Amino acid sequence: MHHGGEVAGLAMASTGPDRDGLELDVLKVALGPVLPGWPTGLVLRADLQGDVLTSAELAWLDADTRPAVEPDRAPQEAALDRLARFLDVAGWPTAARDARRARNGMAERANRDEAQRLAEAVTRRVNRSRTLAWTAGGIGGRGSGGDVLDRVRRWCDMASGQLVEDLPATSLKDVAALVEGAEIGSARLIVASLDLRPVQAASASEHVHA
Amino acid sequence: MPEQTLAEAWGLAPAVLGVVAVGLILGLVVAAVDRAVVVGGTVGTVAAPLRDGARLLFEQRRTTLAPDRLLWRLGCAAVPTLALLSLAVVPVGGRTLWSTSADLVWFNAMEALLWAAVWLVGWGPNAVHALTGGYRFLAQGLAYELPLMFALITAGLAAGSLRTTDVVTAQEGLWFVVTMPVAFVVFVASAAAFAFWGPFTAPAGPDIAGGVTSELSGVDRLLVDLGRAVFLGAAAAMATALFLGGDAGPWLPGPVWFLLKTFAVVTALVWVGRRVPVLRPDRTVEIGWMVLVPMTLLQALVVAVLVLNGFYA
Amino acid sequence: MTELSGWAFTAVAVLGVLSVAAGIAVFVVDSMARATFALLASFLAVAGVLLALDLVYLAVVTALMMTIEMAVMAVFMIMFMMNPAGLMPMTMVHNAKGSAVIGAATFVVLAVGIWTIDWPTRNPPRPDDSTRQLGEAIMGSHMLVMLVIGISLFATILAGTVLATARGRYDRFGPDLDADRPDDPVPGGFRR
Repeated sequence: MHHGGEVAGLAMASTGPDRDGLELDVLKVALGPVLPGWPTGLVLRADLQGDVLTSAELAWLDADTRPAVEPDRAPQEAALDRLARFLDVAGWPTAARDARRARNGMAERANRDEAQRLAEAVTRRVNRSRTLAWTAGGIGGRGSGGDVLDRVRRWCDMASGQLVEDLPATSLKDVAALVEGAEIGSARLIVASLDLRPVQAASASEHVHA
Repeated sequence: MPEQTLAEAWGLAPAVLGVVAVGLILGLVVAAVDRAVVVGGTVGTVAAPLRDGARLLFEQRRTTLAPDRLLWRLGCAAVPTLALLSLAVVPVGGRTLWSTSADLVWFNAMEALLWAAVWLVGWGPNAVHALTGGYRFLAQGLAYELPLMFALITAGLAAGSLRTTDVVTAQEGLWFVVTMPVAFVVFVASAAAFAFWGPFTAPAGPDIAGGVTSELSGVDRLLVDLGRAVFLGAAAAMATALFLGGDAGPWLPGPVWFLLKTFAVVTALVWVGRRVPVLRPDRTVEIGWMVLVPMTLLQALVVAVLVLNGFYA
Repeated sequence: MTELSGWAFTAVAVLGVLSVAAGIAVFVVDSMARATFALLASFLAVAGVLLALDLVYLAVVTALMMTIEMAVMAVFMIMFMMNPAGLMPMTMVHNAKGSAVIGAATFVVLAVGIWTIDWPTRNPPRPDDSTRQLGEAIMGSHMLVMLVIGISLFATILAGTVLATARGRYDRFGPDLDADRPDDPVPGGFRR
């Protein structure tokens, strides 16, 4: 078997030990910077064995050229938006559609009551979904802060208008630790369930420079 | 063999055209119902899939770096072809395009060939997401293949024949869905799984940016999407024939009943399927092996005992 | 051969040539995926031959089994080679001399067998339903053989899996097998 070298300008995969103690091919991939449901500009550079990420590193592309101020949005609208993006990744188009409708309704401010009703309906549906709990539960829960499902339920609480205390911001290093060893689809869900903003990274890097 | 096949009755070419037309109509029905449920039904619901299809027909192909073009194109063309071939043994209006003594196995074989086709679609473009999708389809396929086989065989067992027209005839007294509800549900769910649609979209899942379909454009995307819709429609038609009495029904002519029942199966499938998120394969395969295989085996056992007691005679 | 219609005869001849050509292609192409699917094409051509001979069940089962086999082979051969589309050309031939000898010997044995066996010449009436006839043959007089073969194949599959997997039930459920939930790297569908 040949390894290494280049074909058509592409580096060939090399081998590495996998979690079952075998030597398997490792492919270096970059997920992002524009993937459905993920924040734009986020790149996950990873080693892939089969469909398992064996090492991961996250970075923001062009974080310093992006406007530092996010569009001013009510927390509830932002939470609905986050929820809709997560539901996109989780492959639940009807719920994502309802979340977006609620968000748009809130932004228009004309039919606030109706939008609020829709937001409550969709968050209740997501919160109570046993299917979602079954399929997305129990991943991305290493360390603290609960798993993907806990974070989604938190989005749901915020999206339905409840006050939720702020979580400490997750650093990209923590995220990388969460997705390491995860299947590529779970890694996508894990990142989509987090609240990642390029602004923090940009300001952090400015601190480093200063 | 008292029944005439469609090919014998109409001549081969018109019969093939007829089946292709039925397939396209079924595909359109699936796409329209799906769109109505996901986006919300409006006047343009039926026209939208047609418009999208026409747009794809004239879209320029995107390509990737160093693809395996031969296998890629082959896979894309195979998906709708297999869907139409599987429709060839479905008795729409009491007649199949061609009748063999092993229709049920034929249907199953077309769906197994789909594994190869979808894997090729994932392999061809030389891209990570597409390849991951291809392997997901194989894993999903391995898990649902046996339950699907047992579900198909259960219907054949009760009818004492692998010929679909015989299975329809055997349901004159009682629809098979009454005595084999597990087989019916498993069959319809597997149909969604081999069209990788709804809760079983994982091979083309949004979490891997569209999976096997992620690098498709133009005609290729049209062919694969069309194939999926026709497969789903064909499977709904097959479910109608195997479990819902085929074209039996009062007052209306047989083919109308058949299409009505198929439409009902499609609607129920889409309505239920779109209410849940995509089921991740690492969760579903365990259920497939540990729950569905024993359940379908038990179902077959129950039906076998009924057959021995002369229940279906 | 005489009872075949001209159409079926042509189909058998063309498909036979096709299957041999696809078989040769397995060794000529330089990518694992292409080799796998050339082999599948060869098997499908054989299925087509059976179909032309009106042995529908055998034809369809051949297509079914071989496709699944090739798909599983694709998983195990290619899946963990992470060069999508098999970029690196590679030779599909190992131990060329040995395999050529084995191939030639098999061909000679089969060809000699075909031409020397005293095939029955009487023309029994063709069965209405070759599938039923086949089923009666398998499930009737040869039931015992088929059951033994089936169970030993199944046992082989299980034994192979058990031998291949590094983790057993003691790894999953603890030394006393009393853990509530299995300790798996990826949790499955039963969230026990």
